[in-house]
Amino acid sequence: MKNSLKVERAIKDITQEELAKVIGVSRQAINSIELGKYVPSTILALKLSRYFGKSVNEIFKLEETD
Amino acid sequence: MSRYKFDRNRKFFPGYKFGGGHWRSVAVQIISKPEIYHGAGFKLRADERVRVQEPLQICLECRSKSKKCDKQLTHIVRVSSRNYFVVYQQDICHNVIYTRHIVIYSCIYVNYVLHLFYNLNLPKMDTRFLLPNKFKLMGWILLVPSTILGLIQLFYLSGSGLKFLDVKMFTIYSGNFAPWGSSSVILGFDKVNFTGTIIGIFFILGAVMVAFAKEKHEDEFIAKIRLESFLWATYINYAVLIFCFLFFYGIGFMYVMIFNMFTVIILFIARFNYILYKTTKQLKYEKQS
Repeated sequence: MKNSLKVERAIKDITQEELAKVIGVSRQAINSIELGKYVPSTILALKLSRYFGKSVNEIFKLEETD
Repeated sequence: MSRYKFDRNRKFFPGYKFGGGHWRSVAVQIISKPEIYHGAGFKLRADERVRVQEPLQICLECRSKSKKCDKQLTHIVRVSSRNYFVVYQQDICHNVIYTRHIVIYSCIYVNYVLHLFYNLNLPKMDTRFLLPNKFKLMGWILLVPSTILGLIQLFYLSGSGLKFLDVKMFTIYSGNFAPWGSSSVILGFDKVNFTGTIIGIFFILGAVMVAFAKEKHEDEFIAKIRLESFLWATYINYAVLIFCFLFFYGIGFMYVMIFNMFTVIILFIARFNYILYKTTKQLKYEKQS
């Protein structure tokens, strides 16, 4: 699964730590999601989409291998 | 979807005749041809209404003969193909067929267990069962000294304890190596040394506190690492134990047993904290860039 979290974060100009605080997760979680090492739960994905004001599909995209 | 119908009168296994109409017709979808072992048949996807033959029920964990659909049946299973009939009809020695069946069904079982592992859908860990974050420091304070004292007791005092900790204590069973020997005490008072007991209890309390105290920011990612680390620690522990079973005997094995009482939790703590450390380190690189 690919995600454009880093891009969205850059657009909003917010650090990982700040984002983690707003969403209410650990900094490690945000970092691991950006690095593609962790697939967030639906709840977390929805929270992120709500924060960025974009649909989940725009932030997270399926890859061919999924 | 193709319909796979078993002949009513043909024995599926040597010496085993299966009856009951509803076990026979199986709607199946052939996914791939057999590639791992000969005669194991096609890889089939069973739909909800499928009933599978008895030996396969074992690996499907479904024992009931009721007509209710079993959730487990939706898993991909290996359903034996016609090769069995061919083998049977050729009248090869029964023992050979039995051995083949044992091998094949073991493979099916292992395959199913692996399948379950791959699709392990771990529920979100309930943090109610974790201790508050404060316990972490307390745990370390207990764990470190008791580890050092425990090692000292084991290697320098060779298992014996401090004199002033000799007490008379109620025991369920107390005795020497020969079980139920003349000097053993069952459900009575015996003179025991408390050194090891105290160190052991402190160690366990400390280790549990360290292992199960919440992180400062406990979330689903941490919960995932936690669960993964547990699986990993258990695997490694038992792998090491098998190794020790093979290469340690006598009093050496007793030492292995003593250590093995504590290794699962130690491995868990080590692995969990290592992964946390690694992800935090990544974070620092991220900040610099």
